[in-house]
Amino acid sequence: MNLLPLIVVFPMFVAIIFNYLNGKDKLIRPMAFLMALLLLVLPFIGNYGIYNFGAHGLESGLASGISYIYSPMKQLIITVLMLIGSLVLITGLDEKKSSGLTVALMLMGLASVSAVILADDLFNIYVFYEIAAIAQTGLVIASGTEKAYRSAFRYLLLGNFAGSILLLGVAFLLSATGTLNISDMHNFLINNPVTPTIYGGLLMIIIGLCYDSGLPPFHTVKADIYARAKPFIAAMLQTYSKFVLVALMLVIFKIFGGLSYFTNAHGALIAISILGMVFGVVMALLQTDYRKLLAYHAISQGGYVAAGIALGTPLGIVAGIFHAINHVIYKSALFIGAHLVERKKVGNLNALGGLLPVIPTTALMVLCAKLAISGVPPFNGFQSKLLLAEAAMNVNMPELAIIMIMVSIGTFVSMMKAFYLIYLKPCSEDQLNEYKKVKPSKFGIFSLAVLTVLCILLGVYPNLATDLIYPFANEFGRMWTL
Amino acid sequence: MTQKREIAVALSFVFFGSAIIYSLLNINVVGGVNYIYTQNYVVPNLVTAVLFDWRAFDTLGECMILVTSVLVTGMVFGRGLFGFEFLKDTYEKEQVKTTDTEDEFTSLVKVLAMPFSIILMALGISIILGGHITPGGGFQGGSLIAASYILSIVAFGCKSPIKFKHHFLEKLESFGALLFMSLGFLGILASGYYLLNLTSFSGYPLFFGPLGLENTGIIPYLNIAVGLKVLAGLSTITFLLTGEKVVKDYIIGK
Repeated sequence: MNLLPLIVVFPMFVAIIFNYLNGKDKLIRPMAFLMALLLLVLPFIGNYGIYNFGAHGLESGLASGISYIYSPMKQLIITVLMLIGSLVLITGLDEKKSSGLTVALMLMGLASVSAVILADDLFNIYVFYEIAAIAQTGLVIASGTEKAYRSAFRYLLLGNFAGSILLLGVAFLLSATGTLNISDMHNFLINNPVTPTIYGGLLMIIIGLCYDSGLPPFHTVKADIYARAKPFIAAMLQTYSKFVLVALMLVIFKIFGGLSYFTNAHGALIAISILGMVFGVVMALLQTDYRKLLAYHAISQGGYVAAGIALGTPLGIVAGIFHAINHVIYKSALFIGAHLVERKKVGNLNALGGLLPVIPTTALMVLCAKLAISGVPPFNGFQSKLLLAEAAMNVNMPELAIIMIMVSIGTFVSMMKAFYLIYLKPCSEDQLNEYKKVKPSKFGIFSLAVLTVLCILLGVYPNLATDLIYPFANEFGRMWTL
Repeated sequence: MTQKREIAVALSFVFFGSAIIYSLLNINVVGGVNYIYTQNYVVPNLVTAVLFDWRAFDTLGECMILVTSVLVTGMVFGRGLFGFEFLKDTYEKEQVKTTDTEDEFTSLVKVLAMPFSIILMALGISIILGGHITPGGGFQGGSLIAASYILSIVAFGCKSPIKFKHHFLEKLESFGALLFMSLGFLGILASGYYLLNLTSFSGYPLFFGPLGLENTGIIPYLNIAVGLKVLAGLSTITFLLTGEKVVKDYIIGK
C-alpha cells in the first residue's frame, strides 16, 4: 500500500486537532513531543514513482488528475524538512506558554511545503503555496509584539499581490497548454510554437518564486518576518522558504528547460540570485540587531541556492540542492542559538557581552554553525560552496565564483563580529550574575547539538547527501557553457 | 527621493500592466485535459465532478487555506499568542463606547432582514445537498449560510436572533475538515488511492441515488463536509470581526 499522501494529509489532520486543543497546556506538550517523533517516520512511508490521486492516471495521453512524483532526492529534502520541524517542535516545548495554535500552524506549514515539493501539478502547487504563506504570517504574529504585527501585515499585503500574480500565471499556462500537469506541459511546449501568453506565465511564476523565497525585490519583507518572529520559529520559517525556493525553481526548469526562448529568463534568474546574495550580505553587515543580521544572512544564502539551481547544469543543481540542505541545518542552529541567548532577556547586540563563561557549550556549537555558514572546512557549508564555485567555473562564469567567495568573506566578517559582541566582549560582574540566574533550556541545547553533529557529519561525508541527488541531477540538468 | 521612487513604482506598474494585457490579448485557449473532463460522465454537475472527483485533492487544499486563514484571524485577535502586551495596550487605550442603542437600524430593516436570513439559510442548505445534480455545491451553499448569518448580525448587532456560539462554530469547522480528510482515507483503505470516488465500501453502497447517478459515490458527503467547513469558517471570521468582547476574553482569560 502506497501511503505517500499521508506525508501531506497526516500533519494537516493533526494540526486541526492541535488547534482544537489550544489552551490545554498539559495535553499539548506530550502530544507535540509525540508528533515530533512521528514526523521523522513520515518521509519513509511512501513508495518511489508516480502517485495519482483518486486513481485518475493517464487518459487519452494526458494526466487527468493530480499526481505526485516521489524520488530519493525528494525523500532526502522531506527528511531534512521534517527533521528541522521536529527539532523546532522540541525546542518549543519549554516555552512558558505552550500554544496549540503555533504547533498547528507549524504542522500546516510542514504539510504544505512537502506538498509543494512533491506535487507534479501546477495548480496544486499554487494552493499549497498559499497555505504556506498564510501559515508563515500566523507564525510571525504569534510572538505578539507590535513589530511582529506590522511586518506580518506587510508580508500578507504583498502575499496577496504575489499570490494573485502566481495564480494568473498558472491560468495563462493552463490556457496556453491545456493542462496543469508539469510533465505534460513541458511536452506540449516542446512540440508547439511559443505565444506571448507563455512568456506572461513564466514572468508571473518567477514573481511568485521571488516572493516566497525572499529573493529581490521581496528581500526586505522576508527578512523582516524572520527577524520579528520568535527565533526558534524563524528557524522553521527560513526552512520553509528555502525548500519552496528549491521546489519552484525545479518546476520552472522542468516546464521550460531546454526550450530555445528560455535563455533570457535563465539569465534573469541568475541575475536575481546574484542580487539576493549581495543585497543580503550588505544589509547584514549594517545591522545591530542580532536577529536581523541572521535574517539577512538567510536571504543571502537563499541567493546561493538560487544561483546553483539557476545554472541548470547537473553539478549546479546538485550544489544548489545540497546547499539548501546545508543552509537549513546551520541556519536553524544559529536561530536556535539566538533563541537560547534571547532567554537572557536581551536583543540588541551592543547591550550583550561576556556570555562565553555562562553558556560555553552553546557558544562552541554556535561557533561551529558560524564557521559552517562562512564556508570553513570541515563543516558542511564548505562542501556545498566548493561545489557551487566549481559549477560556476564549469559553465565559464568565473565572475560568479568570485562574487560567491566575496559574499562568503562578508558573511564571515559579520558572523565573527556578532560572535565577539555576544560571547567575548567584556562585561560587568552584575550583568554576569544576572545572566547566570536564567537557566538554559535543555531542549534547545539538544536540538542545537543534533544540528551541529549534522553540520560536521555532512562536512566530512558530503556523499551521504550528494549521492542521492546526483542521479536526479544527471537526468534533469543540461550541460552548457558560456 | 520620494518623487524618484514614485516614478520607479509608476514605471514598474506600467511594465507589468502592459505585460499582463499583452499576454491576455494573445490568449489562444487549448482544450487539452478539458476534453477528458467533459467526455467522461461522473455526475450531472460537471463543475462538481471536476472539483470533487478529478481534482478533489485541490479542493482539500482550498479548504485548508480557509482553515489556516481562520486560525490566523483568531491569532490576530489574541488567540494563542506568546505575549499580550501589545494587544492589551491597544485595547485599553481605545475605549470604544458601545453605541448599540443610538445607531440602530430602523425596524423596517429588521423586519426584512429576519425572513431574508431564514430564506437564504434554507437555500444554502438545499444548494449544499443538491451540489452533485444542480449548479452549486459545498462552497457556494456554505457561503450563502454564512451570508445569512452576517446579514442578521449587521441588522441586529449583538442581539442577533441567529446566534452561533464561538466554540460551536470552531467544532463545526474542525468536524468539516476532518470529515473531508477521513473520507479520503476510505479510498486508501479500499484501493490505495487517496480521495478515490468510491461507489461502495466492502459491499455496502455508499450513496443511495436514483438510477443514472451510480457514479456519485462520496461526492455528496464531500459536499456536506465542505459546506460545514465554509459556513463555520466564514462565520467565525465575521464573529471575530464583530466582537471586541472576544478579544478581551482572550486577553483577560490568560
